[in-house]
Amino acid sequence: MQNTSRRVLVVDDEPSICEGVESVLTRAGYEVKKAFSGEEAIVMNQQEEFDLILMDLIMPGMDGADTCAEIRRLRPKAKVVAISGSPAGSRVEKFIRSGGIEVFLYKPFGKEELLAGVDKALQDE
Amino acid sequence: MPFGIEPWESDSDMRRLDTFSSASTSLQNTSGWLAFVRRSVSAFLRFVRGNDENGLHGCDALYRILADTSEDFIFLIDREDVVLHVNAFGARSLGMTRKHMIGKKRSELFRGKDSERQRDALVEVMTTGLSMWREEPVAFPSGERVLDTRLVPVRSNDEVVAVLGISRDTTEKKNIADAVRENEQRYRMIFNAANDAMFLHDQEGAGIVDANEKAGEMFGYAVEELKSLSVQDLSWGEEPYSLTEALSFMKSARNDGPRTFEWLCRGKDGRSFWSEVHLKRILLGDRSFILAIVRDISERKKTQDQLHLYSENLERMVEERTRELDKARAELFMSSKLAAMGRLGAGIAHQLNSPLCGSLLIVDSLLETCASDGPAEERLSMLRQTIGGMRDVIDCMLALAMVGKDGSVSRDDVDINAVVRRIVGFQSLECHKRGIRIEAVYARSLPTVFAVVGEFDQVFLNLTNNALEAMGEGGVLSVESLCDGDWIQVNIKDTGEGISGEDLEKIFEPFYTTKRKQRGLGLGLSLVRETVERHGGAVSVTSSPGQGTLFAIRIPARGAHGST
Repeated sequence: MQNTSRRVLVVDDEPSICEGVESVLTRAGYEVKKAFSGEEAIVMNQQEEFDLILMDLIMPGMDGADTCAEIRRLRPKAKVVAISGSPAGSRVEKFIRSGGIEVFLYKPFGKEELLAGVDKALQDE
Repeated sequence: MPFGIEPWESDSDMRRLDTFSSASTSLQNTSGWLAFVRRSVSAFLRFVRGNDENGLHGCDALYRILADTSEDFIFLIDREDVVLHVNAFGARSLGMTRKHMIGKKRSELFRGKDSERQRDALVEVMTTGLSMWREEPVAFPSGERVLDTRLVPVRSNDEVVAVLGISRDTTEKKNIADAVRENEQRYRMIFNAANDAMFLHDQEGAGIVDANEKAGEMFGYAVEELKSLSVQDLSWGEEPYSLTEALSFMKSARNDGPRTFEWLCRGKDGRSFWSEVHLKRILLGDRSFILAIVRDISERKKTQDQLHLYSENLERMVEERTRELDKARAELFMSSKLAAMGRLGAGIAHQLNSPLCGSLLIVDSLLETCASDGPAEERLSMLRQTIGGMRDVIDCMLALAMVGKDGSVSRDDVDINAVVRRIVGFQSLECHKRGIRIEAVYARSLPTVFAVVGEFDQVFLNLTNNALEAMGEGGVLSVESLCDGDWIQVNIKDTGEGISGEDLEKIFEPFYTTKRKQRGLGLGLSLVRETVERHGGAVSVTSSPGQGTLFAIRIPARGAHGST
């Protein structure tokens, strides 16, 4: 378990996801912040830097891909895990992967999948 | 002494004849004439018996009677061309008297070409001693007549001394005969020139009295042959083209007037052909006949048949096309319905995925915090299971959404086990609700099938839907996947009402449904079969009422049995 107080931002327009991710990751020793839209996530990134960003791809307003690109502009080394509502192998996924996001979490995922995904993304460091 | 033309051998005989002739011409009334005949015949008989010298007179008298009552021209001319004798009819027809003629030279009585011809003939008979028959026109005061003349030599001591001539006026007869011949020729010409076959039947009907050339040509017989045949030989022979019907038509033509009808004929070579027959009663002389005019209409009939066939074909083609169109329309409707359902399903799946994901994460984190083995943990586990079921439903909806999405059809290696699991998961909530138990056995591993993603989801969704429909409440849904060499087999069995043999033949037909009207188009199983067969597989069904139904799907693995 990572107990070095890694800072994680979860971005999703579904509050229960943000809530669930926060709950699970906090218990696992992460410091978790929540954003409920792409715009909010950008503002938060302007203010501080996160070790990992969990990004929902489909959101009202700015979607995950655009938000991700904007954050990368601010913080070129930002690590992102995509939260996808589409099944594995979909076109959206292929497109996102080409933008440098390699770890995917497919909804609906549980605790185990979440922790495994986060670990994998941070290990790539 | 023989009786005939020989008795006149001497001049005395001739004289005797003359005496008798004056006696006979004086007879004016019939009774007197009959008495004279009677006397003469008895005198003749006495003479023949040889007991009366005067019998000879009787003989002469009889000759006179015969000669003068005859309407033939009888004359006797000797070698000097002198008329020795002429009968009353002959003299009268020349406008002369016998007295005036007898003893005269023939050449003085007849002149011109007629006379020369007569002379030549007489000379020939006298020279050759042979009889002669001739028919020739002769000029009479009343006009030209045709005489049929027989010239017979009269001998005395083997020498021809005279020529006996008997002429009959055949002018009328000849005219009639000529007219008849001409008529006959004209009739025959028309008869034979006709382009229709013509038969003349006797009153009784079936026999052929006459037939024209066209009849011979049409039926393949010589005209003479036809005359020995009957209608039966020229008809197809089977009802309603047999002798019985033919006779009935003829009877009707005889009694009720002309008849026209179609008839199946048979030629000499056994070939059959269609004809139109016109029957009419006609009178020839005082005899009644049936005239049959037969026209070959096989060409017309063929054209008619062809037309009929064409129109039937056309109807059938229109029907087929209509059915195809109906099917295509229904398929289009179905696929657009599926596409719409798919889009809706995908939308719902996306919408539900996020809260489901949140719920799952929250349940997971709560499970971590609560005391293990407590009632809270048990309930949270149950909640987690329920969320798992919901996830299956969403997976299934997403898979189905792949079908019919315009332009997004993608083919891939499909794991049938995964598909079946997904569908079973999808149906498990419904089964749970209805009290249906699911028994699922999966093959440890299955080869893949190359298919449009989601197509087989549709197949197994349809089959499990049908199974659930058949069972209603309660029962067992058995699902089994197995690997049989290169074949993948999936059995789906229910314990429902079963299908009767009659319905069993039709269940794969499009639009065939036993479900209530609102419950389906009847396309489910036809789509199942279409999909499976397109992948080189087969669907079989085993069922009987009350025994449940087993559907077995066999699909060749990728690369096997001609599959792609």
